[in-house]
Amino acid sequence: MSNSDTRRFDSLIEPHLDALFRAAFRLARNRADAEDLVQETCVRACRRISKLDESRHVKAWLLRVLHNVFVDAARRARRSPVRSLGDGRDPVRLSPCTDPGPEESACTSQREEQLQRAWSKLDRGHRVLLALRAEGYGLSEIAEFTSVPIDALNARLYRARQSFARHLRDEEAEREDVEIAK
Amino acid sequence: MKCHEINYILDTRVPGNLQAGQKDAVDRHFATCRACREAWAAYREVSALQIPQTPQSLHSRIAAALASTEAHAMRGYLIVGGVLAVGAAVAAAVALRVTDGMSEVAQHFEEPAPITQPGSQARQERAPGSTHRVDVAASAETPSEASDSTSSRSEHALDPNTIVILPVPHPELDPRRAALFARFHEEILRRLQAVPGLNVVRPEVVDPFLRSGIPEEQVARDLGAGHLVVLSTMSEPSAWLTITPVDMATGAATGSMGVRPPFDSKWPAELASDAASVADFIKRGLTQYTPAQRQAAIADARAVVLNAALPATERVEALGKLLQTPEARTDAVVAAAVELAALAPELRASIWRAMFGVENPYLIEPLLNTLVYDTADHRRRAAASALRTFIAEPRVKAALEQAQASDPSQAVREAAQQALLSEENLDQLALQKLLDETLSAQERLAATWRTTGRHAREVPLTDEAAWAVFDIGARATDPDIRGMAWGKLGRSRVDDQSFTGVLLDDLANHPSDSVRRMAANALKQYTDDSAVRAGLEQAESDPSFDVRRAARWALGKVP
Repeated sequence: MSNSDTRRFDSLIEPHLDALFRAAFRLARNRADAEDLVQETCVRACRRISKLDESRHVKAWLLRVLHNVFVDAARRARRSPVRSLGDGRDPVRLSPCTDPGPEESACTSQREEQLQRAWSKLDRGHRVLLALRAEGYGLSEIAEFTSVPIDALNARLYRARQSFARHLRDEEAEREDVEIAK
Repeated sequence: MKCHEINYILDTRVPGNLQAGQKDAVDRHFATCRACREAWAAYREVSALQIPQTPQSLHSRIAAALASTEAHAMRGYLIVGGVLAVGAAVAAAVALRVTDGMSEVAQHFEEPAPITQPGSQARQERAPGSTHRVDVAASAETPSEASDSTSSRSEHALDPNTIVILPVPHPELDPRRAALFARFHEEILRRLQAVPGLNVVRPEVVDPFLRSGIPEEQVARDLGAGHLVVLSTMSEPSAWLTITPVDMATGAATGSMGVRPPFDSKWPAELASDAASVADFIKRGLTQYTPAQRQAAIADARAVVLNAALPATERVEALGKLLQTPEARTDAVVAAAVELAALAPELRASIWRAMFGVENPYLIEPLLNTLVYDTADHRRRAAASALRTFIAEPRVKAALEQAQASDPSQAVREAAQQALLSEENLDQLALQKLLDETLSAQERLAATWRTTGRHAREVPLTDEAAWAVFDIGARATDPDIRGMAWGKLGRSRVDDQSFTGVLLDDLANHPSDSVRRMAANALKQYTDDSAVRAGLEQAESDPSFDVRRAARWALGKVP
């Protein structure tokens, strides 16, 4: 980046790092992956920074890039022999917190593990919708970030919640089976 | 209230701020609907997440990543010039055509693909009559306002990473075929939407503009798209689809591709494979890879081909991409292709076509097996064509001679015969077929394409052959045949003023868009003639975008 781009990064993108990190953390549910996600978002955003119009909604644009990075990661992961963390399709199940820091100590609970597993089984598009909604963004904002037509958004959120509840029930049932087996 | 209505209330109102009636409705619903109750409980639980403070180190980590990316990009930039030179050299006519009723594709690169500039930020767009903003900021224009404000709009830079792909306009198509075209269009969109960084404008945004009668190029401009892709058909029954990407900055077509998806069959694998070819073709026009990116793409494709856990269709698709790069034709890749051909007979013909020209002796045995023992004509035919590479091997030559003499399928016998002939003899054979008046017009025109595996080339026309093509076109009442003939003349180097009268008449009066477009193309070499120039200038206001563009191209107004 040129010096002017660096200044633009500091003035345009840096102020939104918190919002990006919060959304990323909701998606990844652990700090390391959230940081990776924010980093990749910023790298992609900076490719266009010299043309970024300051009058535009920079935060909305960044969240859209974040959304694209997160959804694209699934496609890349599908084609890569290296597994990506947190996808329910992966054959190997990792503990949700491989390197728990102080913030993630709560992950050690069984319930949190169930939530984490159900979350990682959820379609990535659905995860984005629920995470953004949980972060307090309104339907029209989420429509902007994700390009989902606002008319369809309500139905998708509904399906996302139903789907998540189903995955969670599966996890609970599996846990019960394990208990019985013991 | 129904589940969706309750969810709408909960998603649009701040919790704890529901009106009394709404709160009662929600409570009543939750009391009786277990699914909603559990779904919201689960959602609230997963949302109750303790989010840590943004790490202080994040900023410096991003700065380091950006610095590293910048250095990498500079290295790529220094060598990209060499790649472009090679790209220009190979951007001659490439064509691919597979007959036998399955799938036909033909590509002609009129010029090297443009380099995508670093994109501008997402643009302001809004679907007419809708409150939905398709991109991150909003403008308030409806189609009519947009067309009224062309001058102010044109001041906006077009986003080179935004693309509009028009649907197939053909109201007279029968519903089944129209539905298949629509599905094909959707499939292309779906594949391009998966391209990182590419903003594909959704059909629901484009359609209202088109319905309001705004010219297609203006629609793309209004939507800020740097690229427009036009899908056009000839009339029934050929179902040929022509794909023309246009660079909106220059108005020039960056190439064109013809495809004839197997709309009459129920073979989704072939349909999907053709859509993938089209999406790849469009993508190639948008992107120039640096050597590093190219290597990464090869590595990705190789990983897919070699990954036995993936579906065969996906692996074959990756194989097609991989084999376009000679250095990727390693023994392991060839072995995987052979394995795939054994595993997936329905894709075997596609695989052998993809392997055409690959000089790996490991292929000989499976190809011979297919030629001799396979029960499907089109697979034996593909094997016969691919065996041409190994014609120096006595057993290959013997098997092809045997097939030429006694295969039950005429198509296979012809393929075997072609595999045994030299290039010059093949050209002569093709021209003989073109001049054979006992054959149908379509067969005669088709003969001027020489198919070799997944690739084909147009046989150069002699004066006599050009006259035969003109004669076929002038006599044809079927607009498909007429358009094909004019297309053929347009690509030939034969310059005969006698052709211009009929071509000009078609350009001005023929009801088929394709025929007018092809006539405009064919007239390009006669622009010294003032009558031709006048006809082409008149066609610049033709109602069809394709015809207007072809006329402008013929006049040299766009590259």
